[in-house]
Amino acid sequence: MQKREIIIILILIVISLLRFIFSNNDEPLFWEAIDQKVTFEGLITETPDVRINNQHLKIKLEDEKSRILVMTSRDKEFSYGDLVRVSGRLEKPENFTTDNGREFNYKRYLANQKIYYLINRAEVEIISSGGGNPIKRFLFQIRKNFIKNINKVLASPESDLANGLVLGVRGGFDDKTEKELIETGTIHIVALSGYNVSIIAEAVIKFFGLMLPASFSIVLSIIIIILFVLMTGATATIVRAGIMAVIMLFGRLTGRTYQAGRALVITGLIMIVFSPRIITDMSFQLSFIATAGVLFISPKIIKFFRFIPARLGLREIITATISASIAVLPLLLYLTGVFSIVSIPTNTIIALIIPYAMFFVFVTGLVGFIWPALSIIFAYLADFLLSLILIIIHFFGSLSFSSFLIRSFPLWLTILIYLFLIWWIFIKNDKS
Amino acid sequence: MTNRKKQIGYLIVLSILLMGAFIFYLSLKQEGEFGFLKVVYLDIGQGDAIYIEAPNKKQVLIDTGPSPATLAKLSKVMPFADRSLDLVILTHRDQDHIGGASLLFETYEIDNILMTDQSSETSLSLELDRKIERSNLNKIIAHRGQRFILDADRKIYLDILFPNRNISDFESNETSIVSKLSYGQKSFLFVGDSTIYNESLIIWNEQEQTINSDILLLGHHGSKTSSSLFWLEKVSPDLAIISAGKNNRFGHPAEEILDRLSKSKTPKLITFEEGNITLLSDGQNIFRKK
Repeated sequence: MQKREIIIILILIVISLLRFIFSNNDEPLFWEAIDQKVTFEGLITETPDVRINNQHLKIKLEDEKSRILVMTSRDKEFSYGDLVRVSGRLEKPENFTTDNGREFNYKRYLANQKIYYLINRAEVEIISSGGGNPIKRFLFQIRKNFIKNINKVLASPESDLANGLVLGVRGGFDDKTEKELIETGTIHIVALSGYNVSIIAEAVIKFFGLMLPASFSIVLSIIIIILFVLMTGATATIVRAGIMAVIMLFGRLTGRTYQAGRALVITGLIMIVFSPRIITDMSFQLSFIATAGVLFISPKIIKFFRFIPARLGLREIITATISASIAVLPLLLYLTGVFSIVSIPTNTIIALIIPYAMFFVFVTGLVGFIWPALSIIFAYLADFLLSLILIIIHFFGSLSFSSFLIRSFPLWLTILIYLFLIWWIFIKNDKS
Repeated sequence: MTNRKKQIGYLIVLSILLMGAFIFYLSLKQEGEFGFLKVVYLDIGQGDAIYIEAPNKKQVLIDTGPSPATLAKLSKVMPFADRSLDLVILTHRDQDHIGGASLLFETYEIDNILMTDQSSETSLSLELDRKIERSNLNKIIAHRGQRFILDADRKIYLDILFPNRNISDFESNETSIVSKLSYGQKSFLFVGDSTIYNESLIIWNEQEQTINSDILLLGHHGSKTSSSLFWLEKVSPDLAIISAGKNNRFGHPAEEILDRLSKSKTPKLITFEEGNITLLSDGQNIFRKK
């Protein structure tokens, strides 16, 4: 590593530490309004999160930095940029206990999104539409229509899986399917994991690379990836994968070698500098550790998998899945307590199908804009692959021994395991 | 060179395997019910949603269940990628019957909607009115004597038996649209949340043979406020269907009604026990498709 790089990384670390320590609490004080019926006007700042029984709106008050989470019925259709009048009882979020007996820090989860208050069962009226950032509004409109195109030709739960895979739309699943996704350790695929974003980034680069001169296609790919990250709502996982893809493309543009490990560290630091609280975000933590696992554990264990044919990227996918699973396991056990035995086989098998499923879902959704009847042909192929994925998840998820619960997994053990992993990856290597 | 050949070989084997799997999958999708009238009592929890498909592919939906989430099951029983309905009947405006309607407007193309002119002040119902007004579908107000011809060649009709009078001061359940689907000698009766009072009004107005039906959807999810002994005798169904949610807070279906059925030796099927209940008819027989 060069001196200059070390300095850059050190500066980033210092800034992020300072930002973290001095991050001011921007919680507005509405104490007197708690548990009271309130009415206010505000702007919808994200595309509505439509769940099975209601929809979640994030609403920014005028002259306020923070937002209020508003739950309302699904019957009305809202969009990003709508100015709305909300009335309902103002509440403070409360932490709750999950099905697995772990406390979920809902307060912190919302505070990370600058949300300190919420309203359940609110009455919401649209005052005017068309506010907010016009680019974002345009992107969210595309996203909404894309989802409609998919829902017009695919049935639930295949349509839910399709929207989850390519756009990270979550919440559409029925309880049974969602439970199976958790028990087989595959829930990350429907939250648009970094893996999915990297597939998309690669496809975009290849597509433009076919018809345009290299540097031009790289610039175009960078723009598309940034727009895609914005369109999907820019969650931590997607931003992580997006920044890494952009760093890689910049490397190609300037003719430098891309070192994924370094890119990962820099991406993490940039994100923390930008928003220090993200470090407590569960999906941020899991996404980073999983990527680190793929990057650093894979080369160590690939020698055990020489017997697997390298054809169709089989060997690579299997080692990557196992590496990521090893890396996230301690943290997952600490956070959720769910130990899934079938996670590795399920993830490996579906990882082979996912790129093809995503491709056909994309084509189905895009052709739906131009010629809906034609999209049905692609929908058949997409539906075939999606139901295959669901059948596999259902098969593994319905095994009685698919997962079990570890009541308490202490923090010190988690840290100890990670220290051991770091030693195994970095220090042991240097000696030999 | 040999490596190349080997690769092509693998590719051929792989594509044959994929094609085989795809054909198998299509054969699963293909439903062997050509020429049959299909009636599906959807397992949508506590509420009603019934899908009807005539052999000529005319499609009717009676009620939408309690929520968009549950109505998602509808697309599974319809032909692949088919998101259009010829007629939607909303029997009345309670949540467990119109709760899924917003999904219909989001993803389905609806030609006609049949409802009563009774309004309701719930936000769900008001929003429904707004959506109907904005869309360009054909709104029909239901009354006795209307006949919807689903399949003229095979003589498959849907007849409206209720409302048969001015219902403006009726309580919500009592405004339920009652309809009878007939194909040849076989018939299905759909009653929404009709009460014993409605049942008497219908018995008063109709001929015996009109009321008599092979399959009866028990009124109000099997509540004891519906399905009087007299009504069950008049309809004399071969099979009673109850559309209700597991452990629902209303205790539907009521013990009394179940007793009534077992005394008259009428078999019953309940959606929360069976899942979707699919019945097929060729006009001579009705059989259940598992």
